[in-house]
Amino acid sequence: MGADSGPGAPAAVPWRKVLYERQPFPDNYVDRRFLEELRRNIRVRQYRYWAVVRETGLIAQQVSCVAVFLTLWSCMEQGDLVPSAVLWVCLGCALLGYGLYEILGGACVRERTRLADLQSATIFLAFTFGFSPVLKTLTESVSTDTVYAMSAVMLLAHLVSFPYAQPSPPGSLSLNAALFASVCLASRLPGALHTFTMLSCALLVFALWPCLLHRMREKAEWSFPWAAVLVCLAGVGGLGSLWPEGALLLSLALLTLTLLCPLLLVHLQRHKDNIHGPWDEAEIREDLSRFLN
Amino acid sequence: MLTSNSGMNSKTNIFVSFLVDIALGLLLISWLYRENRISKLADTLVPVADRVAKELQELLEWLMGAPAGLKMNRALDQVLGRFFLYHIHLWISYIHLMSPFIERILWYVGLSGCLGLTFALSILSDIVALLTFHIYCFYVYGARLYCLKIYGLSSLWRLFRGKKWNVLRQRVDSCSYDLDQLFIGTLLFTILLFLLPTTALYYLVFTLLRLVMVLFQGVIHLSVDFINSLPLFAIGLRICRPYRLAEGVKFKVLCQEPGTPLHLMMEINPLKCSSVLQCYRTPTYSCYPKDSWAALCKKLFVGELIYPWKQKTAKTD
Repeated sequence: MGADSGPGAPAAVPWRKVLYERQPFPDNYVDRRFLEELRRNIRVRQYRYWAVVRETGLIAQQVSCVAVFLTLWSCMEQGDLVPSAVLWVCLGCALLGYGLYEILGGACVRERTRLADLQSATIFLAFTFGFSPVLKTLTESVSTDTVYAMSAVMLLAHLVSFPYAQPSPPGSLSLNAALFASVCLASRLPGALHTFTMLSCALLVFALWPCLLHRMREKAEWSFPWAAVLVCLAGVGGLGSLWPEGALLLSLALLTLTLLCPLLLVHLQRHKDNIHGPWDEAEIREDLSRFLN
Repeated sequence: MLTSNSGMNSKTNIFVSFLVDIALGLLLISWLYRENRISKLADTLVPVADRVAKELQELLEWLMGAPAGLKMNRALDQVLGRFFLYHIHLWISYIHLMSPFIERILWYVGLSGCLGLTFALSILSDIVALLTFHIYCFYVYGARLYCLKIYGLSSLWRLFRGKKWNVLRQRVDSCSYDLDQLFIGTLLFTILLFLLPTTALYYLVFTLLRLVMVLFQGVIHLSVDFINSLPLFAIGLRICRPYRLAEGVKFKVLCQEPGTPLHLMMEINPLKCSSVLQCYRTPTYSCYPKDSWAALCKKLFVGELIYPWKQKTAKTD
């Protein structure tokens, strides 16, 4: 049945791996060439530590983005920041980001005209401004604990479902979860203008910043680690101004994420044990576009 | 025996039922028109309608507060409550406008009882439907609002997850949305979700009221159907002349001696009363429930308008 160790195997006729001829062996007999086509770990990538650390910068900066957003919200709720000032700063940042995006874009063909961008911005601003009185009274009858719990769950869902591999068109579930959380939190603020400001900040931080970061990564590779570090520092600093223990926790979490997890990944690669052989599903590797026209 | 008489029996049944119906109707008229009961009825009708409207108003005020401790969205609550209160106000004005003519109308309508008790009961059912028309209107408003909300919520929930409904293949597919579609979709989803308890409560209250009315109408229709389809002639025949309706025959042995022919006595087995009812029931335009319980519950949950009684058409008899 297995390798050629049984005592009763006749050695006169060599065994061939065919089933359409009657041979003197049982049907499930294989000679000593059993499993000679087995290959182990042929597609294992060799990770290098510092390259992986660089990539985890994306995850760390997304967590810090959430921290920055929560800091902004907390400041506005306690009345430390005036909404009109925050609104002007947001507008300035948006224009700056748009300019940077265009400069870095440069040679790329634009898939959206400037008019379409302007249209999107107008729709978004009009809608949010028109609905902000409704949004403000939305969670009046819901208790504060429920609102905080819902926002926490939604932000966690945003972090978990974020498309880290391809962040440029933001993923539906992650963006929607972040916006839902921001609407829940924004409805707790004292005025309609506060709500509008919060939602504008949410759009900037969660929807437009990943696109800019991705563009920066594609065109100016050197700037990406600096941007990630800047955002992480802003997150830790902002949280520190409100809740120092929280800042400590956040920095610990970021350090674990950025330094410890890649170490684990590289270290545990030696335990990988994938087997491949002719029994796997066939993969088409050649280029079939020559059949298409 | 059954087949030869069945034609005559069914016609006789219908005739006798009709006579009994008219007799009962005349009895009702004679009772109603004696001692000026019609004007007494008309006098109590307007206060009863007022009372019903006041009860509805109190119900709406209760909903506009914090009913049963549930927390509702105050702004939407006020809007819906005021809208329905204005309707009730219009209805009361209409009733007060009609009040001088009610006695005369009732007098003429009561005369129609000479056409049979079933006729009078049907008219009563229609009058009740007219008097509770505002409840029906409220139910339709509440149901439409709720249906729209549920439809919007389910569609926006698919957008939340990044999927859409493929109409061609009748299934849910993934879809890559634009940024502004995602943003506006999420805003609307949040708004609809938080306003759902308020709308659902109004819908629940008005649906319950409507179901009470429907039940009442159903009871009246069932009794009309009962009067129409009862085979009085056949029952009378069974009681008075049981040998006319036979189920089979019984043989009794009279004398059994060897050498003489067997003498047997034959007796007719009369039909059981339950079989009489089942066999000779007159088929009528009865109304029966259109949906099964499961379909009804599903319609109530989604917010579709329900018309639970359906008339049997002559073709499917």
